[in-house]
Amino acid sequence: MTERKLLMDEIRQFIQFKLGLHDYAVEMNCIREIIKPVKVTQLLGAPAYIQGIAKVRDGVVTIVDLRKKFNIVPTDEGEPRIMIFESNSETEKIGLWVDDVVEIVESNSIEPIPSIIHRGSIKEILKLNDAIIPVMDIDKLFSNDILDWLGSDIELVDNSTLA
Amino acid sequence: MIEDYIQMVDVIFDTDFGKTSVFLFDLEKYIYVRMGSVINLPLQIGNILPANSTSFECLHSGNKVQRMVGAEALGIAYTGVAHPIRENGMIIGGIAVTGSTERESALKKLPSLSRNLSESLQQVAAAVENIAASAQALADGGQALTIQAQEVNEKALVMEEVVEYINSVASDTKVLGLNASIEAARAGEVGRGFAVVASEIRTMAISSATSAKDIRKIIAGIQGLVGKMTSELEKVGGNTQEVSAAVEEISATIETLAESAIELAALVDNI
Repeated sequence: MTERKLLMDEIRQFIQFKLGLHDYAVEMNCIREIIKPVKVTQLLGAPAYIQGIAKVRDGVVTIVDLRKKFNIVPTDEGEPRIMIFESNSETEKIGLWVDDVVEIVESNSIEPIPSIIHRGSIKEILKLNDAIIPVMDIDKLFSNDILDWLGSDIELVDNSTLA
Repeated sequence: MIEDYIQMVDVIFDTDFGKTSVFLFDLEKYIYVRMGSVINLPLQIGNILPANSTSFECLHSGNKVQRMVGAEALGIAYTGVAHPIRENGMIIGGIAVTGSTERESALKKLPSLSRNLSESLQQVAAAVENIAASAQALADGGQALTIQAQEVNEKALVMEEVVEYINSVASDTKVLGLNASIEAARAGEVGRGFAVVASEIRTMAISSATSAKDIRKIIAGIQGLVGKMTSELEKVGGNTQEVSAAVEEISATIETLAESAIELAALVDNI
C-alpha cells in the first residue's frame, strides 16, 4: 500500500469501532465483513489474545481479542461484533472482536504518527470535528513481528508459568 | 281546730318530694306554710290571705278553687288549688297547694319527642348504611384498580419484549447496512449507487434503535407510575378499611340508641 503518498484531500472511508470505551478505526477496504458474535472454540496453548476459532459461513476464522492484550475493560454499552479482515489466504482469515461498531466515517483529514507508537500497529490519526481516532494498521498488526510481540508478553496470565 | 291539719300539710308536702308548696290557713291568714322548691311565693306564716288568692276565694265560695297561672307570672307555669275545710258544717279555714305544671307539659311533649328521636335515628341508620355501602364500593373499586394496574404492568412487559425485538431487528439491519457499504465500496465506481442505499439502511437502523430506546424509557416511566399508583391504592385500601370499621362501630351504637328510643317510647306510653 502507498497511503503515505496519498493526497491529503482525497476522501477515504473508515470503520469506527470501540475496544472498551476507546475509539479506533480501520480503513474500510481492509474489511471483508462484520458479523454478530458467534460461538468461539477455544484453542489450547494459544496466546491469551487469541479468543479461539469460529466457523463463519464455510470458512474458519481466528478470533483476536485485543482487549486482553491492552488491559482494556470490556463494556456493556454497544453491541459486540466481529470484524473479519480481507485475507489473501482463505485459511488465514482473522476476525477482531470489538465492543461496538460505531459508524462508517468518511474523511480526508488524516495525519501520520511516529511509527514507534504501538510498534507500528497504529499508522495514522483520523481527525473528526469533535475527536481524533487512531487508525490501526491491520497489515502490520497481523504481521509476524507484531504477533510475536503480542504473544510473548510476560503479563499474559496463560504464559506466566512458562516465563 | 284548724291547727289539727298541720300534719296533713307535711304529708302532702313530702308526697311530692318537697316540690309543691302547701299552705294551711284559717279564715284570715296563713297559719302554716311549707314552701316547695319549684314555686316560691312571697307568702309567710301570719300573712293575711291576699284577696286574689285561691285560698281567699275558696273561703268565700265554699268550694274548691283551681287556677292555672302561666309562666309569665313567676317564670314558671303552675297550678294553684285551694280546698275549704269544714268542721260541723262550718268553714274553719282551708288548705292550698301550688304545683308546677312544667312536668305535665313536658310529659305531653315526650311522646312526640320520642317519636322524633326514633325517626331521626332511623334516618341516621339509613345514612350510615349508605356510607357503609359506599365504603364497600370504594374498597371494591380500589381492588379492581389494583388488578388493572397489574394488567397495565403486564402489558408494559409485553411491550418491552416487542421493543426488544425491534431493537434486535435494528441491530441486524445496522450490520446489514455496514456490510452493504463494505460490499459497495468493494465494487468501486459501479457500487456508488448501492453505497447510497446502504447508507440509507444504516441511517434507518440507527433511527429505529433510537426510537426503541425512547420507547423503552417511556415503558420504564409507565412502570414507575403504575408502581406509585399501586402503592397509593394500597394506602386508599387501608383507609377504606378503617372507614368500614368506624362505620360498623357507629352502626352498633345507633342500634343501641334505637333500642333505647323504643324503650323510651314504651315508657312514655305507660305514663
